[in-house]
Amino acid sequence: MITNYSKNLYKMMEQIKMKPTETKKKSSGLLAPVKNFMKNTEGNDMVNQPAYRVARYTNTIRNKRMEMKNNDGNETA
Amino acid sequence: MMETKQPRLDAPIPGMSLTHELGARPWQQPAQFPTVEDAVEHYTSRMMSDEFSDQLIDIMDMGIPLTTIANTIQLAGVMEGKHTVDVGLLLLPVLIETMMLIGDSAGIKYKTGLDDAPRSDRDSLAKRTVEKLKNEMENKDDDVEDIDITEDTPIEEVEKEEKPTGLMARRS
Repeated sequence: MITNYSKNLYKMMEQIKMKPTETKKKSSGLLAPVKNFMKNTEGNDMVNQPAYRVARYTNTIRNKRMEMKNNDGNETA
Repeated sequence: MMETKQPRLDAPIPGMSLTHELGARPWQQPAQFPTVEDAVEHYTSRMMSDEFSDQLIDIMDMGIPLTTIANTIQLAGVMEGKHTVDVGLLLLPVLIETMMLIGDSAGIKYKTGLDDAPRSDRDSLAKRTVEKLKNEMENKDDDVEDIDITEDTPIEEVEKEEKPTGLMARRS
């Protein structure tokens, strides 16, 4: 029987791999394609899932925490 | 003056708490924060307040695992109708991580509750109690040794006379 589901959820969120945010610059010319119809958008579905969004939040907070820890370590050392 | 006992006629009937109109409870209403983003924002802003973080640090210092605290917080949120159960469960990692951040910034040691302790290493209640008693006994022995016995205090030996219990025994 699962009793500590907080732990399971935390471990699960840790395993979700973050996708790098696309920072592709769109061409602004008049003849530039408005939409790429051949682009595979199936992979983007994952990004909209609640679990993925939560994992992103968790990662952000964890990174901040690690950053703070490292800074403290450098200051004390 | 003594209070006279009177029958309490307005007492709840057993099982009365289980019978209520549908929708009367907060968790039967639409959630206040329907999405994960709304709920995360609500909790993080609340947890970052000085009042909350001070209380949280006290609890963490007591050795209560963060997973337990996070679960309690989200369950209270569900009961208050702030969010649904599924949003609450999704919130758990964020709550744990935020509490870790608060604990680290306060510089205290805390239990995360995320460690996989092997079954054999876990101390059972009986084992812990025995160890506690052993420690107490050792401390008592030390205390006895510490007592200064320079004064000679005669110890009266009280000998109990065994009374005969037979049928033919003399009665005083």
